[in-house]
Amino acid sequence: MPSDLSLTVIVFAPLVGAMIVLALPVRNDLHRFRVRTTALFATAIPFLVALFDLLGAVGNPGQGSIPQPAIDAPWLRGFFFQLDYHLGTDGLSLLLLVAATAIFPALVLASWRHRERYRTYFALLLLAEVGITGAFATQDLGMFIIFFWFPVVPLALLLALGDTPGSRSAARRLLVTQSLSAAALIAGTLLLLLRTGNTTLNFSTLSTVKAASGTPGLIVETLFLAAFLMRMGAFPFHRWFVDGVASASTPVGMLLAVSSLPVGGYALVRIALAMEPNGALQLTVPLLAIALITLFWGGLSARSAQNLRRIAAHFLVAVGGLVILGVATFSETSLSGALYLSFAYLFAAPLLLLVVGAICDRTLLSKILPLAGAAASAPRLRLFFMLAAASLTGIPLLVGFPGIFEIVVSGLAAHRVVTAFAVLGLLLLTAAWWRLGHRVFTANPDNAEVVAVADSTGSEFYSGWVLAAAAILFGIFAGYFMPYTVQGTALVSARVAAVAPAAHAQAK
Amino acid sequence: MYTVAVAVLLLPVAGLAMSYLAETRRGVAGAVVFTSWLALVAAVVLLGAVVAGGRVIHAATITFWSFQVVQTPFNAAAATVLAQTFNVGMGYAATPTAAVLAVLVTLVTLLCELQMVIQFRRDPRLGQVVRLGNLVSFGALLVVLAPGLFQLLVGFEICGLAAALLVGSALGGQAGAAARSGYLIWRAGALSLLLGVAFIYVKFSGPIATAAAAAIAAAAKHKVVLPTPDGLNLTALDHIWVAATQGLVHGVGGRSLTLAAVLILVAAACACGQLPGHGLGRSLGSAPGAAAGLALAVGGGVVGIALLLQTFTLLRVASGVLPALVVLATLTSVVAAVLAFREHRLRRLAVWFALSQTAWSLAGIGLGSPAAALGLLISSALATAALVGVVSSLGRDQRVDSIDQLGAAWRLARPTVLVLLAALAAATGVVGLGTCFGHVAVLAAAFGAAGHGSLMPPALFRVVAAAGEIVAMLLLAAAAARVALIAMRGEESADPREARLVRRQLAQGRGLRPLWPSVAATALALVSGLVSLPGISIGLGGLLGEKAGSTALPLQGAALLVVLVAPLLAVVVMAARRRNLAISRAEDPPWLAWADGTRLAISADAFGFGVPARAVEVAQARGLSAAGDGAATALADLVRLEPRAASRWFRWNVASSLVTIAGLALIVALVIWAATGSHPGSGLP
Repeated sequence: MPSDLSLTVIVFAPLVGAMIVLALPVRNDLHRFRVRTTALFATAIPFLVALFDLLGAVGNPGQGSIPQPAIDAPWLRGFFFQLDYHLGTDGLSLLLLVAATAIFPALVLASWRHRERYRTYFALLLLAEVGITGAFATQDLGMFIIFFWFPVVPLALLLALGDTPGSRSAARRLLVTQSLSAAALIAGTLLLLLRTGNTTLNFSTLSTVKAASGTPGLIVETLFLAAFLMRMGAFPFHRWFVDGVASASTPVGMLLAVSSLPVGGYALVRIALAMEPNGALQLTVPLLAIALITLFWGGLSARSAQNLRRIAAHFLVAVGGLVILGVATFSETSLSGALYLSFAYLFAAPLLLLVVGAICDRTLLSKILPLAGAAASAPRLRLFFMLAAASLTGIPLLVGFPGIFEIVVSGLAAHRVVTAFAVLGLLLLTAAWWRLGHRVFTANPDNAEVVAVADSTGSEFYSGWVLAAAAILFGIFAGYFMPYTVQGTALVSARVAAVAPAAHAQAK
Repeated sequence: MYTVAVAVLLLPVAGLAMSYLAETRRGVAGAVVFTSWLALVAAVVLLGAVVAGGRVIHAATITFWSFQVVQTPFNAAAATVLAQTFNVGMGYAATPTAAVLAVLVTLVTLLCELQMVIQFRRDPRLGQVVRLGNLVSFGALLVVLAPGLFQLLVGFEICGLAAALLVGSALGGQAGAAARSGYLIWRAGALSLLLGVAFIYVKFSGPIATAAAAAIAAAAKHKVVLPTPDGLNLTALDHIWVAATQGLVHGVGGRSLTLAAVLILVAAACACGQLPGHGLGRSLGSAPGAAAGLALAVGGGVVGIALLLQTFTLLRVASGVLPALVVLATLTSVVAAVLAFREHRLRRLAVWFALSQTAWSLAGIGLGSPAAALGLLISSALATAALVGVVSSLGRDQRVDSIDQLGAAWRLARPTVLVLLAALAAATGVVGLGTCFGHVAVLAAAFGAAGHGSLMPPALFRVVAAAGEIVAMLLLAAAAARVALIAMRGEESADPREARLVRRQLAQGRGLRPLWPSVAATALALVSGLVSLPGISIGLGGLLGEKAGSTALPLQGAALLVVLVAPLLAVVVMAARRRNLAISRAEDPPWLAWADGTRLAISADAFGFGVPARAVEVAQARGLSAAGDGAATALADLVRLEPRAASRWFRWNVASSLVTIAGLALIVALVIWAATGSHPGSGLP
């Protein structure tokens, strides 16, 4: 039976780990090893607790709409809002939370060979985990806002500390974009509270009471959408993500991916849809347009880019378009598909960036043309690459397929033409994937301007295997997990459906 | 039955898993080949059980996904309410067609894998190649045994990806490009199938399916119990599609049926490398060694045709789809035959032969005769495996990869060349061998002897099909005769250095021993026409629903006459001009690059992806990035975000950003407070 303290441990164990890491000395290799292992331990604890204490809940799909294990304690009172220490997971967040905790040990493993600013690096990594897992674990909008913004500074610092060309400007861009995103979220929340007269910030309450309607509802929804689309790196707010991934070190790039689309996609469903369904329905068409533009813009940019990391980043941006399409379809199935695709992204995107980063680091190249198949003799890297790219483009039996299948099935019932275009976008993504794979892994290695890329070994190999195994297992056994997610999305979909006639009448 | 069918499905995967436990190349090969043997035995047992079981169709599904699908009507264009529970799973439906195709897939896989093991015995890629071969086989078995549309989709995707990876595992600079272009064609088909499956689910599930099932049961003379269509079950959908044409399914008309059928047809055409995606054949033919035979015969042939056979009811009831298939297949068949006639490279020759035969099978389906298509497919798949096996062995072991080098081979390695010619004869279908009776069946269908009179396309399309088939048959026979005549002339290359090199390589040949799997495939292909087609018409034809009436006999006789005489005519004509047959490889004319799909693929890539990608790149650089930079600069000026000193850069940014957030939040809060102060229950305390 899950304990009330499980989520507190999951969210704050990395914070404790960060403090310990900062207190450790780093004078010799043994000290550095201790820092690494402490960081690994601090990220393994949340993962193990989530795996053994929380994941069993998916076996009981009927409970997917009830947050558990819930801990709800008053925190800040006496204002026009009430901020509670409220943690809990339900069908919307459980899988994402478990996946997020699983990623961080892999990130620490991928950082095993990191050499500079030891304590700062691992402490910032752990702090970022607090923000990301906290965003999935909380059931209070006020706490969500805190956790939403919490990883931004560690991420920006990690980017800036990378000291690569463009890393500082990328860090600046990230900081500005995410600050604006947080500001939009705060403004939207304040307006929502003031227009509806609510004082509680509890998710379940805000998702059941009367939402703001008319122009204020539209403004609230616009602010929410802006906040979460910025976080996702959707068009036209994708540049911070692309620049960040292109200039970051491999583990930091992976971290950027983990902190962007999954958090933004989750927030779109949890907050933008559930709390302001009127505005969401009024903004359906712009949302669909953004979905398609993001998909095609990302896909075509990935097709034309020459920089290896930028190709991967644009590819990941394009996947966001599918998530937005799932959200804009509003049905239980499409929302479940959007969340499951975000869940898939948590494994596949870091895996893709791990491979791309490994090749860039080893060849000291960023362009794809001189590679000309230099990685042809690296079968593990090739396998990881194939699994990651195939997952994100919806190849069956891999983790991305169930989400994409659900989005297409329900999208076709609601927006036939848009869904057909989205499927065309998938073909574009496939072309981008094979272009990258061809240049890196299968072109004529005799033409390569660099020596052959060594295969994945050691901590990088283990890190890759964790992610690859998750991509396969969660793809094959998706049926075990999806009903729980569907139960979670049922409430959101029902809430949108309940206001739909009024919104339609208003639109007419 | 259950155990046997599941064994057929899962043994290729088991072989793949077992191969990872082996430490040596021999162990890997042993694991894969052993499980392929077992799969073949299981498939034969399954076929025996189906034949013995008569019309009873066994089906079972292991459900591994089960989730609710709810499409609330508020945003659906037609107030669609889908089925509450959507069960998808892996399973089997042991129909006669499925059992025959399962035997074919496992047999071709085994023969090709045996040939691959011999060819790659000293190559470190052996494990990779045979594992991918098993994966191709697994995907194809998923398709042929599918009880529902969902499994068709899964098998189709797996087969395509595995085949592309197989092509990519070949050495040489072009392998990657071939894998890429081939996979894009396949994926276009797979995404079309995805749309088709989703569309069928939206249109034919939930309340629609329930109402249709009730209507069918009420209208039927006998009691009809339909399986639930929620898992996209094909048996149930077959009834519903037929009922839709009778007006029994509310809200579903001819347009929906046609759209669904077209989406599936596009998928099958892409998988079978039909025009304009015939470059797929070239791509699959680039797979290493005998793996190309597996990719072409199973990936490029069986999967696409099985897809159409599984959904034949839908194609039948959708207006205009079968004629379109006839036109497409006839065009592809003729183009592939022209390319075969023009081709000098042996591997490409095998590809064009395979593509032409596959197109004929598709034409058989288009002409309303799935039994003819199935009979031809059996012979052509075996002939393709044999032909590619021999050609790849000649290329790998003896470096003979062109028709021009066959003269020397005829003198120094005659048994191998004889096997090649026999495989070509099986593929061409001369004098009652190989594909001959398959061609007779398809041509008879074109003459109007398919049995289902009402299903046949209009006479114009049948005339087109018959004319196209005869032309393609003449060209293929001429191409085969050309190869045989050039080989039997025994001339060497004009270049003495090349001639010496070829002689030296041929002298190292080891006779027919390393070729025994391809020899076996050739023998099976030669006799397959005699066995498979009568077998299908006598043993399984009734189960397939084919009823050839006595009035069809003259038409079948005419078809037999044409198929026997036409290739002989072509051979005679070629023999008459045998002295003029050039053996030096001429430069390919410019049109050939368009005809064989090379230029087409490059142009499609450039205009389909390249030009829009460049436009996006320019828009990004000159529009979006410039605007973003402008906004950032303006904001930076506003809040003094720019660094004053390089060493203090970051502190300034953090501080500035915190101030930005606090300031924005405060401004927004004040504005809201001012605007909503009078609202009851709101406002700052």
